[in-house]
Amino acid sequence: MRPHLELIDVSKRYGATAAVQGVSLSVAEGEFISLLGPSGSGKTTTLMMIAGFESVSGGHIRLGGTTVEELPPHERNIGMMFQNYALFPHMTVAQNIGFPLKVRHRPKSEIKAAVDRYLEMVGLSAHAHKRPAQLSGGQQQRVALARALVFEPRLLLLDEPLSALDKNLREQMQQELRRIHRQVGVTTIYVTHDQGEAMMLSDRIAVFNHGRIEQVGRPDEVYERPATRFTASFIGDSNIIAGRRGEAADILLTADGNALRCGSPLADAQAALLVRPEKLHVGDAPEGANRLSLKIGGVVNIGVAAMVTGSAAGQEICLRAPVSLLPSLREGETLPVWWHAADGWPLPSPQE
Amino acid sequence: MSAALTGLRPEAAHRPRTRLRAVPTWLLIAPALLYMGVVFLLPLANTAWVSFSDPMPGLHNYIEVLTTPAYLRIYRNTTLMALLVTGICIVMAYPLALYIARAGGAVGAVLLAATGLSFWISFLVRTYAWTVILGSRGPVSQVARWMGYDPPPVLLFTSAASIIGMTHILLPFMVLSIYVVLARIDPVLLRAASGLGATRGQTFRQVVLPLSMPGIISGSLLVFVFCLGFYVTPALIGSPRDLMVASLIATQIEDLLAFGTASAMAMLLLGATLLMLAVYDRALGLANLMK
Amino acid sequence: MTILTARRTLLGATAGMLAAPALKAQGRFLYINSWGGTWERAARQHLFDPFTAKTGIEIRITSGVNFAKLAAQVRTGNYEYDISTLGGPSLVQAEQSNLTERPTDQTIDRGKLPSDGIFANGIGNHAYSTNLAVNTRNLPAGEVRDWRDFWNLQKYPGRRALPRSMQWTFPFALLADGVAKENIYPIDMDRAFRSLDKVKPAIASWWTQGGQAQQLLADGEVQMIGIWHANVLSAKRNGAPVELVWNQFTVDRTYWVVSRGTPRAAMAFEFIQFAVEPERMARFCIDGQYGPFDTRAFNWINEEQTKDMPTNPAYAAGAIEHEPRSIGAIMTAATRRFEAWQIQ
Repeated sequence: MRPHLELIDVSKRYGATAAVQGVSLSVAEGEFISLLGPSGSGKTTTLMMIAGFESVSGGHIRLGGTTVEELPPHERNIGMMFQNYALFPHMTVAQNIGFPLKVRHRPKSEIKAAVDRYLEMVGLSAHAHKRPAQLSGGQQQRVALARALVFEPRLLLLDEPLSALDKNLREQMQQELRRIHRQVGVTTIYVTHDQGEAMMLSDRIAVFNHGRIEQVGRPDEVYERPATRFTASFIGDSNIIAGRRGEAADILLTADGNALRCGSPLADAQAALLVRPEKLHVGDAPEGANRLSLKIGGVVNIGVAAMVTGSAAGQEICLRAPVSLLPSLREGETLPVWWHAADGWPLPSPQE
Repeated sequence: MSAALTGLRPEAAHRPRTRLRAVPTWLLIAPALLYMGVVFLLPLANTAWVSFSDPMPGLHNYIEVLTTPAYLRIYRNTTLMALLVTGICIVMAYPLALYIARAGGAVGAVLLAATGLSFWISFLVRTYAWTVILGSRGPVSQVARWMGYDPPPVLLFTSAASIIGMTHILLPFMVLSIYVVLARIDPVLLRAASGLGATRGQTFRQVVLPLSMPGIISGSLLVFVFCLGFYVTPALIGSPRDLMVASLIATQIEDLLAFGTASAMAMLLLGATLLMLAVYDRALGLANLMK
Repeated sequence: MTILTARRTLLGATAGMLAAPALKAQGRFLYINSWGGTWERAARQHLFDPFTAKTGIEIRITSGVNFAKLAAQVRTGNYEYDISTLGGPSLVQAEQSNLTERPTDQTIDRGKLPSDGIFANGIGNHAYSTNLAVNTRNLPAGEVRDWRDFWNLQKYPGRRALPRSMQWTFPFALLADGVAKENIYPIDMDRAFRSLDKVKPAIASWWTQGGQAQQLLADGEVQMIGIWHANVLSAKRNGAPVELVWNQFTVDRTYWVVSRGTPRAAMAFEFIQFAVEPERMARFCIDGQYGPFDTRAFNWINEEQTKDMPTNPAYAAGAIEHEPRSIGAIMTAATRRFEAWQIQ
C-alpha cells in the first residue's frame, strides 16, 4: 500500500546553514506520528515545509500520491494547529471553527452543521458565541483543534500545541487528543520536544537531531532499542556505559576492566551499552547477570523509590532502589548493582 | 534555558512595579490633568458661557446660527468635505500602511519616518507649496499641457485643491493610525488563515481588514475632526465657495466682533463632533457584535 | 481638534491673553501692534528707534494687526499692546464699541496737527490705497484702465481676485456698474451685490492678507486684482510683471489709536505726537511708499519720491476718499450678507 504522506530526501537550507538535511519519512493513512527532537533539530521546519509555509530546498513531499511542495498552503488541504492557537480574535468560537468552510464557499447550512458537530466533539457547544479572549487556554486549544479538523483535511499538523499549557491541563489534553484522533482517524503529524508526550500519543516517533532523522519507530522500539546514542539519551533516563568490544561480540570491556554482556552483539569496536535505570537491581547478582560496584554520589527519596546516583566503571549511573533500602544508602559507600544481560542494549560508536 | 528565563522574568517585571506603586497614580497624571484643565476645559467653559451670555443672556446666538440658511449650508459643506477627505485618506493610507507594516525592519522604519517627514515643514509653507504645484504655471499644469491639455485644467482655487491640500496634510495621521494596528496583528494569524484554506484575498478581507478596523476608525476620527476645524488650507487654495465653519467663526470674531455668535458656532461644531464620535462608537460596537 | 481650532480662533483673542506675559511693569516700555514687513521696517527706523533715543522708552512689537484682539484686551483688561493703527471703518467701529482712548488736550497738542488730524479717537498717520493691478504677462500694460474693464469678462477672460472685506470691494463694484465716483456713498448694497454677481464666476479668491494677494498677482494666478498698492510695489521690486493702475483707487487713511484703559496711555500719546511730526512722517512714508496724512510732510519729499504715493496730488482725479462713517455703518450687515452670498 502506498504511504499517505511521503517525505523524499527533503532538505531546507537558509544560505549556508542547513536546517533540514535529506529527511525521508513515510506515514500511513490514519497514523499518528510525532516528530521529536530538541529545539533547532529541524522538526518544526519539516512541519512547516509539509504545511507549505516554508519552501523546500531539495527533495519532494507527496501527499495522497501527488506532489505538493509547489502548492501554496491554502491549496494543500492540510489542517494545522499552531503553538499559540492562532485563533482569530475578532471572530466568535463558531466563526473561527467555520472559517475553513466559509473560505471554501460551503453552504451556510452545511457550515452550521459541521461547526455544531465539532463543537460537540471538543465539548464547547456552550461557548459557541464567545470570543477567544473569553476562553481559558485549554478551551482555546480545543477551538484550534476543531478548526483544524472541521474541513476534513488530508493531514493534521500540530506544532507543539500543548507546550503553553500547565501540567494538569496538558495531560488532560493529551487524553483528549488520543480520543479525537481515534474518533476522526485523520493522519496526524505532531511536533514536540517532550519525549513523554511523544511516547504517550504516537503510533510512531521520528527522532530528529541536527536536521536529520536519527530513528523512526514505535515508542517501545525507540525506547528499548535506540539506534543511536542520541536517541538513547534523549528518550527516557539512560545509563550509557562506554567501552570497547571484547573477543566475543556481545561483550563490552570497560576501561576499568569490567566485562559486560549485552543482549545482542555489538556492531562497532568502540561501543557502548544502554541499560535503563529501572532495569538495574541492588544486591547479589544471579548467575550470568552483569554486575558493578556503584559508588553512591547522592540519594533522593521520590516516594515510590529511592533515586540513587553515583559512578561505576567510570560512568555516571542512576537507578531506582526500593524505599526499604533507604536507611542503608549512604553517600560515598559502595553498592552492588546488577542487571540481566538481555537488558543491556548495544549502542554504536559515538561518532555516529 | 527556557525555565531559567521564565524563572527570571517575573522578578524583573515585579521590581519596577513595586517601586512605582510608592507613587499614587493620581499624582502621576496630575500634571496632565492640570494642564488639560487650564488650557482646555477652562477656555471651553468660557466659550460655552460666552455663547449663552453675549451680548445678552439667552439662546439667541444658537437660534441665529440654526436659523440662518447660509450658516447651515456651511456646516453641511464642512461636514461633506470632511467626510470626503476622510474617505480619500483611508483609500490612500491603507495600502501604504499595509506595505510599511509588511516591509518591517529598516525599510519600514525609513518609510514610516518619510511619512512623518512633512510634519517638520510648516503647515503654512506646505499649503503655499500647493499654490505653486497646482498653479497655472506649476508642474501639474505643465504636465497636462505636455499631454495635450491646453489650456490645462484649472486646479488652484477649486474644491479639488482644498481636498488635495487637506488630504496631504492629514494623510500621515491616517497612515500612522492604521499602521500601528496592522503592525500589531500577529503574523501567525495570516499563516493560520492560509493554512486553513483562505486565499490571499480572503485572508485580507476576513482577517486583516476586520482586525485593522480599529486603526481605520481611530484614523478616520482624527482626520475627520481635524477636517472640521480646517481653515487655512481651504481659504488659501480652495474654491471661494468652500467656506469652512472655522473660517466662518474667524469672520464672526475678526470682522464682526460677534463673540457670542462665534462661541455658539464653536459649541455647535463641538456638538457635531461629539455626535459623530457617538455614532462611530455605536457603529464600532455593533460591528463587534456582528463580526 | 475642531474644538481646538474654534477655541484658538475665539480665545486666542480672549484666553490667549491670559497666557501672554502680563504687562505689569509700568517701566519704560510701549507695546505697539505692527503690520510687519515694509511697515515695520520703516516704522522701526524712522519712528521707534528715534523715539527710544529721545525718551529712553523702549518700543516692543506685537505682531498681527487684529481688530478682535483690541476688543478682547479691553474686555479682559489684559493688554498685549498699547498702540495700534487702524483704518477708517475699523476706527469708527472701535469708537462705537468704546475700545479706544480719547485724545485730550492734556495728552495731545492739537495745534501741531492738521485740522482733520484727529478722527474718531484716532490720530492720522498715513494713507494707503487699494488699486486695480494687472499681471502684464498676458495683458499689455495700459490696456485695463478701470473697474468696468475688470468686470468685462468677455473682453478680458481669466481669473481675478478681490478683497474679502467689502469696505474696498463695494466701491469697485459700484464703479463697475456705472455709479459716478461722487455717488458711491452712501453705498447701495443691493446694487453692489448685483454688480458682484456678474464678476463672481471669474473670482478665484477673496483674499484676506496682503501677502496672499501679492502672490496671486505676481504668480499670474489671476490676471487682475483689487489690491493694496504697497503689495504691488513689493511685487514689482521682486521683478514680477505687474502694473499698478492709478485710476479709480480708494484711499484709506490709517490712524494711531491707544487701547482704552491701558496704564501706559500717557506714554502712548507721547509717542504718537512724536510720530506724526511732518518731517518724521515724511521719512516713514518715503520708505514705506505710503501717502503722508499731513500734507505738510510733502515739504520733505521730492517729486520722484511721490511717484507711488496714493496722496500724490497728480493722482487726485482718480482717487476715491473713503467715507469711514458711511462704510462703518454698514460693515456688519455687509459682512453677514457676503458670507451667505459667497457660498451660493
